[in-house]
Amino acid sequence: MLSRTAENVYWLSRYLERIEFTARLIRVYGRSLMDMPDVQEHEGWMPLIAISGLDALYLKHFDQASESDVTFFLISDERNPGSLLNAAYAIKNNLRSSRDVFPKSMYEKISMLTRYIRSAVERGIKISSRDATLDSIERQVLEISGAVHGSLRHDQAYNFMRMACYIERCDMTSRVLDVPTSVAISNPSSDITPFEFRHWADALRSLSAMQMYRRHVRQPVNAEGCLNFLLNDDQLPSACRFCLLRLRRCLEHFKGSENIEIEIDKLFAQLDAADIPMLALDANARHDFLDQLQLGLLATGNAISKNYFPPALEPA
Amino acid sequence: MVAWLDTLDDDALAKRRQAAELAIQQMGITFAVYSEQGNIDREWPFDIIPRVIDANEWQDIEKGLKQRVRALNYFIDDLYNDQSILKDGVVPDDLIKSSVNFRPECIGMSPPHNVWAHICGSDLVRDSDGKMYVLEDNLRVPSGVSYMIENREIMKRALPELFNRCRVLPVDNYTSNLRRMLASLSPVKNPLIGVLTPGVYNSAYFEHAYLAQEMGAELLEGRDLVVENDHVYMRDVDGLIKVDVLYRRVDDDFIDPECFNKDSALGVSGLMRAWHAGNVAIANAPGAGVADDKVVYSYVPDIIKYYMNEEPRLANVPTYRCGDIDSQEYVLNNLEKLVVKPANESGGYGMLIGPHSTPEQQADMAKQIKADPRNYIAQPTLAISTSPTLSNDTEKASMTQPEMAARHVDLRPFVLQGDQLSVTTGGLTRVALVPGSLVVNSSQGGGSKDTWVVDSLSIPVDQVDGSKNQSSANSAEQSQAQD
Repeated sequence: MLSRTAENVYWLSRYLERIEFTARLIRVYGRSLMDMPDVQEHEGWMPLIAISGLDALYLKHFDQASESDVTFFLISDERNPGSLLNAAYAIKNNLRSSRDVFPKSMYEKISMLTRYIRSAVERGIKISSRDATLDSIERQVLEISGAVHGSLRHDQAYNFMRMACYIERCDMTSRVLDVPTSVAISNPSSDITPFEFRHWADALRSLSAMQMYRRHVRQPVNAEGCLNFLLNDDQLPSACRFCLLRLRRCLEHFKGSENIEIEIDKLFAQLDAADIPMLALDANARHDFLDQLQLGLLATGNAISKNYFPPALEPA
Repeated sequence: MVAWLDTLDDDALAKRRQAAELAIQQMGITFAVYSEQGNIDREWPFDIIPRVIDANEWQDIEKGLKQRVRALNYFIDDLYNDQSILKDGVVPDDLIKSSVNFRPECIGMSPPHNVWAHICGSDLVRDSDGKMYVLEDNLRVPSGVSYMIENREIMKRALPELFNRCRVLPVDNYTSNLRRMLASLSPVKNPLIGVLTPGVYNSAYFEHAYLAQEMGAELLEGRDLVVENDHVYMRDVDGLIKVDVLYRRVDDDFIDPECFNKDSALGVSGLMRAWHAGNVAIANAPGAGVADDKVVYSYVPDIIKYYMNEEPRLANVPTYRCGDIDSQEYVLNNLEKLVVKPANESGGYGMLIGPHSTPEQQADMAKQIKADPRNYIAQPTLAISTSPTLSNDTEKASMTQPEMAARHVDLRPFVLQGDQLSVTTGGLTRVALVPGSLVVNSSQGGGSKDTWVVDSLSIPVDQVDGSKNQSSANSAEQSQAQD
């Protein structure tokens, strides 16, 4: 397939994954915070910004993390490159130049999703309708994923979409795992345990992994169990190891992927060497570990881009 | 059809129109408008009342179009080779030599089947005498065919009941014909075909993507291509892959900076070399636009007689060439009655419609004609036929009450010529949505309608419902047993 088109479907897929995740994240945390009347609004909502790694950008525009500001920032704010609205624009642009790759019904689904997000933002998202809107967004992305699996030929375009999805998802998982730390630290005086439980549970829910944790890990939600499950499980779609295994399998469809495989092997080595019990206790070590993981994913993405996408500095 | 439409009240009609608008949004049928920033895609303006043409009449038009395109291709091939028509004085030598679309770079070339204009979109209008006239031939990069096909899809979603009542001939074979025709241009058995687009900002980008998708061809931009050793390659994930046929939707000027416009980033350097070497087929061939010139248009009846020894089956609109002194005088004295067009513009730009113009506009046009008479032609303002259309009075209050009104229409059928000739069934009907307006271009407030070539002679179908229940493999047998 064309290098340019490959780049388009790759980013389209990453943004789709990001939209699904962000929509679910807001929904899960929003509901969870309703159960924590004692938490300051700022402390409750700031972690959502932290997960997206956008603290600096957010604080440039807002002083406090109020519910309305945070949700606006994550959903509708054009100044946030990762907002649902901007992701929808990015998808639309990528779709425009990769239209010929997709079956028509799929094109229509993707196009309707971007339209839905834009019109929801235009109408304004109120608390009363927020969950329903986010839920609908999530469902539409799932429908698209279904069509990707069911009606797209499992060729290079499909594999670029999958690779994008695994990298994005693995990155999200690592960010979610990094979060409970910051909240726990910001609440040193209060009783940690119920918080800790709730935040690990939120992490699982925001990755659609709660039910799977219960069925598979069979122990109360705790840091060590969660970390082990979300980092190392090889059958959970949002677990880092699962994503990396699948990512490596996608590469079998491409020639000259050695440099990418080297990056992935480094990531596997990092997972294999992880001291989970220690990471569960030491928030700083955990942060460094996850940071390292994210850098590795970045390097992997760059290697894919260098191998298969058009050279960046071409005359447009 | 009219009887059935009568059964719908205004509300029902408005609902059908909304259904069509929804279909257009869902299917993502858009055209881009240059000047607008931000939201560059506009939804396709569509009218749900179809325009009907009788199949018998259509057969005659089809024959006329085939004759015309065949003659035009003989003509172009002659111009770039023997130039016998010029030597015989049928078409003046200096007219061709002064045409901006005559490309000396193409002299001596003989493309496959000696065909240059593989895809031709001719605009037809019906005058008050009921006769169809050819208004112009588009031989460079004619667009609109995807809208013709999509219009039918929209109609199927918006007014499904109508199709049972009328025998409407299908239009969906165009893309397979196009693919077959393009493949016939290459000696390679299963050639790699690409649609070369200027990119997402082009007003017809939707169509480029649509055609690539429907043909299973690659949608290419200039930056995707490289020429090495006079072969054209595309940058693929697996490396460079050879391209055999380019259906280019980029104007001659921009396809090869080495040969034409040096600053063009839309084409690829060396493309003309590869074409000359016969290593890539280009449709339409570079230089084909020479027959697109509106002054050359006025000679088409003579061209048909010269090459085919036949009378033209489709008439031209009478045309005054401003380059001829007598004609020029007549044109200048009658500007308020005539339509004046520049010879090499498309999209309805630079025209003067006499009866709808102000004295200032006429004076301005007179100045332009005197400055460059060769590049202007004039035609009588035709009483172009109208077709019933749901009027779109945008006074907000009356929005919910669409009414039927007459609007002017034209028709653009598409002719394909490779090893064989084929014509679309009907074509794209464009409609001037503004009351009284004669301008149908989508870039200037025009819309479109589905065009129905209706087979009125055949027996009406009596709901031929095949016995659906005869299928052997019952799907229920393959389901999980229910308790």
